Amino acid sequence: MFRKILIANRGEIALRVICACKELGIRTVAVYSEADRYSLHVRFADEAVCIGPARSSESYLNVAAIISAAEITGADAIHPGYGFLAENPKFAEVCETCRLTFIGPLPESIRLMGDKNAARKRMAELGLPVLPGTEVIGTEAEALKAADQIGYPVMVKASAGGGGRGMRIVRSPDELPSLLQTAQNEAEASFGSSDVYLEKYIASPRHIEFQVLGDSHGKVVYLGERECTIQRRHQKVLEESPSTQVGAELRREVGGKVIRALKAIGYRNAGTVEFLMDENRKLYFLEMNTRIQVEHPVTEMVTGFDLVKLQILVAAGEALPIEGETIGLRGHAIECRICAEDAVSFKPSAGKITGFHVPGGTGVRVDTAAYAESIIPPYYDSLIAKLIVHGKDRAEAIARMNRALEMFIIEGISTSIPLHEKILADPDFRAGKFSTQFLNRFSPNGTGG
Amino acid sequence: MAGKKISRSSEVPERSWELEDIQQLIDLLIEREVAEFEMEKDGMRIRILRRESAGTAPSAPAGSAHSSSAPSNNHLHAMPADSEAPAAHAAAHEEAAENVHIMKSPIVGTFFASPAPDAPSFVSLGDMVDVGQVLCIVEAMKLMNEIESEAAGEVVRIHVENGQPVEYGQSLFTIKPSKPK
Repeated sequence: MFRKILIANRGEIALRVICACKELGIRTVAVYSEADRYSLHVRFADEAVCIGPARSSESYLNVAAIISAAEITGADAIHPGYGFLAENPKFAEVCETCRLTFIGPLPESIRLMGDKNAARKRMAELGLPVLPGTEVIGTEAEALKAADQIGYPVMVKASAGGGGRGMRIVRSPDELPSLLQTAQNEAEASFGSSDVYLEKYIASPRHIEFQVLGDSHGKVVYLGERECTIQRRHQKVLEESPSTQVGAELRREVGGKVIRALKAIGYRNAGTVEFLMDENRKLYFLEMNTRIQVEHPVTEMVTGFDLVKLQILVAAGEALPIEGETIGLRGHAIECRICAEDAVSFKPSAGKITGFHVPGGTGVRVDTAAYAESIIPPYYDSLIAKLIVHGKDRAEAIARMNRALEMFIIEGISTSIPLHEKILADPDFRAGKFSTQFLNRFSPNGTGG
Repeated sequence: MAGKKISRSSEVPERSWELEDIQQLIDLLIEREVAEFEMEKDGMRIRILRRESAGTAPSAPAGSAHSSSAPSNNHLHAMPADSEAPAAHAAAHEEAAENVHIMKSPIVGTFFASPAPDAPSFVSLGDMVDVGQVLCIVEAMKLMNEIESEAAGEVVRIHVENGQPVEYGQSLFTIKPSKPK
């Protein structure tokens, strides 16, 4: 087992990893930028090293500084958290070269899943259902023919992309030539490659993702699914498990396919396999995230497993302490991502938190690095806290989340708490009837959804 | 203010904390092996925690001089009323008050005072240095980075010891410029 782990991250996830390490009796090293000098992850780690100025590129993305910090503190493993270097295959390789264990998947898995088009192709070969689509498109004529075969509407997508860029929805053959061109230009500018492919477009999809874990002894398990359909501009706002749309039969069927595919590529450590669900409850593989995710607590609440501890155990070469392919899910969990932003205009709101009181009570969990008198810096993401609740069923979880949101006091900055209260009060949400367009109904322009 | 004793709280004169006072306080706490200290005075709150030493890095180059009693990592949490970063605040304070330039480490690594274990140090206390003159080496990932002086003047303070791990922004040398800044 590791003696000392360096956490190459900040904020709530750095604190989360420190929690797991403390409980395992492993010493921790925090790294921080000058803007994070008073952060909780710095305070609670056993050692801390300042690695650079506020800018991420010079601190949390600075591979040399992070490796150097591991060397001078004698750390034997690095946990990358999520974001930053978590899905950077070169960083994973540098760790290996410097004899530091990277707590995550193998570099080749990260590399495969980082190329969205290649990942889709490989997963299709290995038996996962995928949206009808193409390889990288060469000519306009090729695009028109393919779109005809797939059936409109189709989406033009950047092969090297993500986050909504280099993507265009095409509803008819007349629109295709110019939108193809635009998408290619945007892809070139954003990702350095103009490679695009076509894919069937689902107008009102739901977003369902399966949590997986693999060890170095060939075992892969799935720990249920999460529904992450409530999004704004491809950013998740609220997540829950299980999904109201996934019954035991579907879960077993798709879960089984996921395990077979991941065993075939020798996948290790934590990961999330993302699917789109159409109006007929059919699931199509979208992409895989080769890291621990923001919303992992939702799965922890319904399975009773500590995913970060399992990541550490697996990275240390231990076998997953799980019988069979999967775990039973108990009850229902919901997570609200509470961000520093205005709840109506969604404009970010950095600044100083003057009052902070976290809700407690049965079935309530708060993952946060914020505290009274702390400053939310403008350089990083706006996530202040994750509020997670667990109830015996969805109705109790909703009631509990309502109660917890009401009792969460954050003063001095604007937060998205009012938005979450609106979501939970919405009849469609309560009935489990929504798609990724759901949040449009609360947008400043007031377009329906 | 060399040699000034730390007074009891009832005797502390009504003025703001100088860097010298904080340094003397730290020296006293190290001498007395105090583990934790917190105090609020004159609009500034100071909390000092002594942590265990970082220990010798296993990957240190052969022959490097690692002292067995490496200094502890004292994490100074001074929080003035307007919550400015205190290291910068204190450094700026020292710079402004005494017209000196503090050389800070631009990278994370291990500080070496000389080019080789048996060679003489690049600089000693009292030496006059020029802009661009190599003051020390900070080793990171087996690369020896030469740190060049940003000011011309006299080396009046060396903040770190040979073989000590340093972080980004850590004070290395105080140089008293020969011309007014």
